[in-house]
Amino acid sequence: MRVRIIGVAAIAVLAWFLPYQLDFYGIHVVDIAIVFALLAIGLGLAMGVAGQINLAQVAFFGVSAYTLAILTTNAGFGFWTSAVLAMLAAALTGIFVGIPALRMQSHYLGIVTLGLALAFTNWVTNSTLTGGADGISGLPEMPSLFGIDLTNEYLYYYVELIVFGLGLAFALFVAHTGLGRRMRAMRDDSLAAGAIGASVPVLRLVAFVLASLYGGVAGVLYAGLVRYVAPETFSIANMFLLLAMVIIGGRQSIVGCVVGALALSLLREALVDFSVYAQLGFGAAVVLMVVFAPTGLAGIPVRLRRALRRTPPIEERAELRSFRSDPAASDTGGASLEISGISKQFRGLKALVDVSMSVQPGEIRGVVGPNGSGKTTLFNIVSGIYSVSTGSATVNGRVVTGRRPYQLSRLGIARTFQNLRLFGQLTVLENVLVALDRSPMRSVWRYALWPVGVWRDERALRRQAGDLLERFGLAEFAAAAPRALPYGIQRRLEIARAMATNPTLLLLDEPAAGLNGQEVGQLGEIVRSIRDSGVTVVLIEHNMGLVMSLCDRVTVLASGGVIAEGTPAEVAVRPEVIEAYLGDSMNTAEIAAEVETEVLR
Amino acid sequence: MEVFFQTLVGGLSFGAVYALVAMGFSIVYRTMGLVNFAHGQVVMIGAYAASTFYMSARLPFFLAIPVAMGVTGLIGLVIERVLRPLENKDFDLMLIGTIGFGVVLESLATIIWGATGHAVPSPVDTAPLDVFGIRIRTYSLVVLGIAAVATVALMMFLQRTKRGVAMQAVAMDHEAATAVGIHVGRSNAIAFAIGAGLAALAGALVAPLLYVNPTLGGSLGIKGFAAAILGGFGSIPGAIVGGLAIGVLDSFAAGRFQAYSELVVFLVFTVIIMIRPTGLFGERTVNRA
Amino acid sequence: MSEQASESLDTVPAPSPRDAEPMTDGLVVSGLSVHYGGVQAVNSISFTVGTGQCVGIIGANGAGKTSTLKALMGLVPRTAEAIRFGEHDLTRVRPRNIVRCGIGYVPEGRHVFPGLTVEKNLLLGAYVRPWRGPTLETMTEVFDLFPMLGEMRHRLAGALSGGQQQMLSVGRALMSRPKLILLDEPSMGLSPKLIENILAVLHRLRAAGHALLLVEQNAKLTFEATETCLVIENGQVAMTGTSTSLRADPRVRQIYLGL
Repeated sequence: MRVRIIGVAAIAVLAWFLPYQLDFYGIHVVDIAIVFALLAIGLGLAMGVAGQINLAQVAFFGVSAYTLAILTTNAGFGFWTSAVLAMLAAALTGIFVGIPALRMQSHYLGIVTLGLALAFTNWVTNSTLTGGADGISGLPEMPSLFGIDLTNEYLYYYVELIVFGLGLAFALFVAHTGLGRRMRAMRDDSLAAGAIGASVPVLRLVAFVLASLYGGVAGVLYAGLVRYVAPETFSIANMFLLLAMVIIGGRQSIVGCVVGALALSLLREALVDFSVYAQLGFGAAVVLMVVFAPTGLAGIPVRLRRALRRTPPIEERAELRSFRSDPAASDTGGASLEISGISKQFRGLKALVDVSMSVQPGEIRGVVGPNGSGKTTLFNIVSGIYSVSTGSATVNGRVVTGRRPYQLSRLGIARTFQNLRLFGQLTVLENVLVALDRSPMRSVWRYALWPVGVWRDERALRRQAGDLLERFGLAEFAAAAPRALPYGIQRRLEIARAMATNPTLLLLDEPAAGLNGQEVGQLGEIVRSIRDSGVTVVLIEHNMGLVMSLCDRVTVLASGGVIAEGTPAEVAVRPEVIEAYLGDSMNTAEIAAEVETEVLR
Repeated sequence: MEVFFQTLVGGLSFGAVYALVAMGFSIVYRTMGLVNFAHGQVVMIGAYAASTFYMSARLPFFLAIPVAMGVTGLIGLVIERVLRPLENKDFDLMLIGTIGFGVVLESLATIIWGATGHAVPSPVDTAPLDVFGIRIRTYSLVVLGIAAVATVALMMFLQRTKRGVAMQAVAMDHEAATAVGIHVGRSNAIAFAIGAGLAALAGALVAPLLYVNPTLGGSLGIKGFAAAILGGFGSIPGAIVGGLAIGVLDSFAAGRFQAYSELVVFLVFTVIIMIRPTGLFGERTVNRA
Repeated sequence: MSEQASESLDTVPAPSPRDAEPMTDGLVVSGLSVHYGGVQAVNSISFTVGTGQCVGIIGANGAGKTSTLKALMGLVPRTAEAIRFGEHDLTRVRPRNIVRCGIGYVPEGRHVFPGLTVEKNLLLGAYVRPWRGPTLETMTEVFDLFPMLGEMRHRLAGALSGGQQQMLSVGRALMSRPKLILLDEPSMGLSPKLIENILAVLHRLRAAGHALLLVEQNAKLTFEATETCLVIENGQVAMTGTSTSLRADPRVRQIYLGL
């Protein structure tokens, strides 16, 4: 920590004295590089942190610069008024470009954002308002600020430096607190992020707005510095240059994006006489980076450390502690779940046919059945991932069908997934933190107006997360990456994450899959304790031993319908159940006797 | 009325080129799940290669095309080989990797052929045809004809040959394809080469219609990509319909909004794709937990 | 269908005549393990399938049955002391060449090629053979075995019902004229009546001299179709024995129902 503070201080001092070493041209180059660094931060937030492919970053930059130019020259607005309006225009463009992200992702989003960026350059090249291909020149000089003459590029540098410092600090603050954590969770697994209560659509829009705000600031600084705007500054070629900066620097690290932007800007200037070869080199570097170092320059220290490390990593040293049940057992007794007449079809395939079941508050209900009998489909419906064809489900009397996963998470429904959906690039602690954070999306305004409040909440969350990890015996793994951990620990973490949302109904999809005998025993204890703390539990499970010993009642599905329901002992002797499992119904009497002895034991 | 038909035919001939570009996108996407953002630049290389063989090496135009297709086919193989480690792993990284290849190809073209570009004379110099009083450029018809032949050939290859059927099988289920003995890696490489060959055909055909320069790939690639998405990504009939639709839209937008045609085309495209994200022929995928 | 099973055995595609070669012992697996993502799905299991023999592997969901078959096909990372099939050392054969050793694979969940016609699906089964005379004869034999496939030969495989797709998947495996067929849960998601049909098909394949390795959750079907059975639990062999003896053994049910 101390090393880091000294490092930051040293860089700040160097940056402060840098102009004394540079000639007039040198300072101009640096001023431009800082503009690109701001653009790269915005792109890094959208692409690296939130996982939204954004090829329209230059358009945000352009909208802001052109708005400033038009307002100051044509409309005669003052510089600062125009600057505020330019930022606003960029943010509105951000929302407009972000709307397609609500409907599509990945390459679709790539082509749409790229198309919109092309549409923007097409417009500025042809409109008379924007001065066509010649652009707009003769922007008024920037007015003095607190008596500082900003027409001097040396002094302008200090303004840029301060704006950049604030911008970088804000981006780091966002990336490392609740909002950024939710965005990273969405990037790693948007389905699981929705299931723990992150409103994915709003987050996507926020990502684009953040990117566009950085584009807006960069546009204002650029127009104020150069006092001339023309289409080629905002061309697709520059968009790809920006992309190269972010990829080479490391898209998931804000500092990496800045390093990439500064390095490539300066390199481009140094190679200005060989610009085609520079471009060739940047393109080749991007290709090599994605294949060999997808985390970019920023990821290299981590990779080196991992390669050189002598002591084994935490995940090998730490041991899994036993689970401690919550002393403050609640008496709310959990929620009731009522499923009535649900059917679900996928393109003619009937996955569920008229399924009804009723789970009492505080019950542990098992859902069993052969492969392909529709168990997971049922969970996906109750947790809002699928819609129903007919029928409805209610939790504590409130209809849950037809709502989005994040809304259901806020109604107290939590779930785990059959194939584990942990956020792979978040630490164990962050996986829990993102689920603990129940603040509604509308409170993002605090990032702009009251960051102290965000910081306080963050500290409270970290305390709670520490307690929760302690309770689940995972405290020693807090800083580990989930994928590096043994499977049993990952399974337990997923339950801890689901419990962090403070649910009243918990859906567990095959929680014992892949666990050894001892771990299955621990799982049974954990589930019982969760029920005792006031949560209704429904679990899909193939480990019949666990189902028999744990569940109050069992529902058996086969071919999309309920074929039996009752206590484990009742269900296990039903001929239709044995037939569904074994394929025949012989010797049921014999089994009945065994089941009885088992239950008595 | 005459203007309408002339615009329509002009749009269709460009549309046929977009359709070829879109088919190249689609065939690669179907077999590998890879979206090749460098595809437009491969088209540009194809245009340069064909026009260079045609104008400098004095090859007949219709011989220059297959030679250019061979050149781009090799480029396709290189791209596939380099990005293979990312296959089925990180979609977004692969996408960015192909953008990197696009930048490389564009700067290579600038180094080899210069930044200014050149015009390509039409290989057929007969006077415009007069059909019921409407004058149609002969070359437009040549473009439509060749594109149609190429499409039919591609369909025949995919439907009638063992290799083509195997390629479709790989696209549908690569594990099952492996189990019946198909070399999935080789099949993917061939798909990539075919896609790149189609790109060269599109580039060669469009060269006499446009001015060939290193930035040609950008707009052709994006329009071809838009065509592929509009038709439903991965669908060959979709690529044809999408290509013709974008071509006609482009042509009419150019007539109506002059220089703003690109703006109009992309706004219309964005709106359509928002309403129907799977395109006209696309399959709806189910998001499974 | 079960009546049909007894008639005209000669219409079933027979294993290719190469198996007259001196090698014999069929499939020998020893110490096969599969790990993925920290889970040990299969833990050192060993078994053999002799020429023309029918062996079943049964167990509850998640016991490691599918992983075992995929490991034999080389489709998942595996470790093994030995996997031999006749003279072939399968640990050194690439997944795409397993079929060339004479092993046909019917994957779990059928995995037909949905966008291709029934006929093309079958032809792809014979990808390793030239698509001429003898292959077309094999196809006729498959159509005799499954007349329904013949009627629907120009339909897209994706448009078939679950049971029909299962028949197609078996037919596709037969097209390479394999000596050994690996079947992964052919009864999955099928109605009891269709399961009867599957059983009849298995009987016919067996009568025609194919060796079968049948992985199933449906124990009844497996006992009726095979001679020897392994019961696996948590990736390990819990019991082995002849199908007749296991059928009467109550421990099988205990393993299934977790008692």
